[in-house]
Amino acid sequence: MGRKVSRGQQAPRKTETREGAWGRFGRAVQGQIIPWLFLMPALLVFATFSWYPIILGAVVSFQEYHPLRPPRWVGFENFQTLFSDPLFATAWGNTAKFALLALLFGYMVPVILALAINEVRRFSAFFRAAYYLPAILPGVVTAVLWQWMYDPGAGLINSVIRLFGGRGLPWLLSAETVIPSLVIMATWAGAGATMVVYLAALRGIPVELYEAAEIDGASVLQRIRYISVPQVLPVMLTMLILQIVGTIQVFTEPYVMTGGGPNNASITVMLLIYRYAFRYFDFGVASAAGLILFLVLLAITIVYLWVTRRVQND
Amino acid sequence: MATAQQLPTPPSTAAPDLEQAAALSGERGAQRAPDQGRGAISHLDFSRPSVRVGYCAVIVLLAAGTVVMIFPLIWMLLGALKSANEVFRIPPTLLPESWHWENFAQGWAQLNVPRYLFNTLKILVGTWLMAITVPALAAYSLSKLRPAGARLIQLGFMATLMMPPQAYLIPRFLVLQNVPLLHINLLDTYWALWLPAGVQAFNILLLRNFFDKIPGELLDSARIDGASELRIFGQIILPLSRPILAVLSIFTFTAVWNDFFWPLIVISSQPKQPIMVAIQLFASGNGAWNVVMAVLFMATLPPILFFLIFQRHIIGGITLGSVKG
Repeated sequence: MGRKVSRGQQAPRKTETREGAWGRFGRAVQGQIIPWLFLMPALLVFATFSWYPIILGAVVSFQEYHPLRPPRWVGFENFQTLFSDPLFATAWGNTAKFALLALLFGYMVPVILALAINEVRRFSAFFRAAYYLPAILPGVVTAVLWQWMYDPGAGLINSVIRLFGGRGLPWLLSAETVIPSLVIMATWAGAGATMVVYLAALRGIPVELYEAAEIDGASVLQRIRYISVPQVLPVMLTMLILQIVGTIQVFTEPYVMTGGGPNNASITVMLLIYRYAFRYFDFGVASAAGLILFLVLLAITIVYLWVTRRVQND
Repeated sequence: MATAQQLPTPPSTAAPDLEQAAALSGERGAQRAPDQGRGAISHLDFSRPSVRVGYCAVIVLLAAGTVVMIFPLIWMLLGALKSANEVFRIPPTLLPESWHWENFAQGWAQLNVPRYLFNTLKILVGTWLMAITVPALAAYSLSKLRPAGARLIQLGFMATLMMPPQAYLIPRFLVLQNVPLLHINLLDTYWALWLPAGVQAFNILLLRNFFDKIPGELLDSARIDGASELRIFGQIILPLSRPILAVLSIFTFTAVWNDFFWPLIVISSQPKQPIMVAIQLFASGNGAWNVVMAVLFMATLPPILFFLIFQRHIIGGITLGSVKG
């Protein structure tokens, strides 16, 4: 019966039936070779530099791994080392403080900028470019430039404060002000790029919507509140998670500007991982810290996905 | 482009490129002349004093914000032109007393900029080849050749987008130290920067979406004429994909120019380091802020020029990445 069906299907293509099963199989394999050859470079680099390292990272977390020495299984010893290191808690505390302050200061800035620039008639292209400009600077340039501006003596910021009669702050040199200083700089550097995304969302609003609201007697503020704001809200959710995930991984700014100081007040998780790996050459502990960081970021992403699904369902 | 010409001529402060960008994101209803590029406020609202006052207040605040955004860059340039004494003066001078253009030459020589520029250039060429070619080949296969298991492979590629890059920092370093199967050490060679640059799930996604829109009949007729898949890829697909390849190239340039963390880790010998790592080292061991600022300014020029030339692509690309990705 199976034969009959297959003959029925193959009947119009006589050459293929004559080839027999092996021929068809061979042709099918041949048809697969070229597509897989095209995929091969990508498969190789993904396997070597992405898929395998993910597994390796988890494995090394449970090993004593020093260069030039064969790795040795140590169970949870690396994690014990981490949890008994007071700097680990400090680093997570600093990272959390950085992320929270960045949300508090920086999160709303691009939204407000986009809502304002969206209303601007004549200089809007100039404003957009001006606010985007700091986002073009390389991270190292921004960090060194602000390091100079934060100088308590000759730095620009304290000079401006003194110009208005203030006394100035120690900025990067005091444990209390160092993280807020980094956050202010990160907001300056990052707001423009995020603003552009919000602006794109706002530009997608059809003018007819505003016109209809105007005819219905809605004031300008009401139009912004009930038409513009709902348009950026879903984007804000995405930006929230991107910002949190980004700030938790902060490295370049504290590395360049403070080296984690003063007195470890600005050491972040990434900076600690860097120290364990490339100063103490203890890759096992560094991997364990990396694994914890990854799990935290994964948890945040899962919460985010769960929230977006609920928001979309409502 | 046509709408750019129809826009009311704005003041000369805005460069023509900026306007085109505005037209690009704001092009709709070209016939509604009084409300061109409007937001919530219509031209009728401006007859109300409260709206006019509020609008002016917003403009003034935005202008003040612009100063905050731009002034640090001007300050960088002014600092680069001051003498070694003047740069430390309290309170600082706004304009240099005498203009020390030689600071640029000094920074150029002290840091040995040509060497590090050349290093960055070498890194850029290899990274660009990897970050474009490898994803393009894969995207072509996934989009047009569709091998068995394509969906699973695609899932494997896209899953890496969920991984924060810093999370596999250490294991990737260890892989480069002792490449599996080959057992060679690629650290302190540019291969350590070039090869991982091929891992670009996002580029695969964008290229695949682009290739999907190229009609299959075009490729079929080439196949009937006896063209090989590689030839179709090189002579039909790539030339048609110029716009998306341009966007990806721009992003690759910016990423390589700005990259700091990864080269810092994998390139340990100083003469091989790219410009950003060299600048950080130069600045950290250098008290002469005027020369440091001169170097920073030089390092900032290429990305700024690049942005001014390609800003339509760049801004379009950002929104491409964050809204649709």
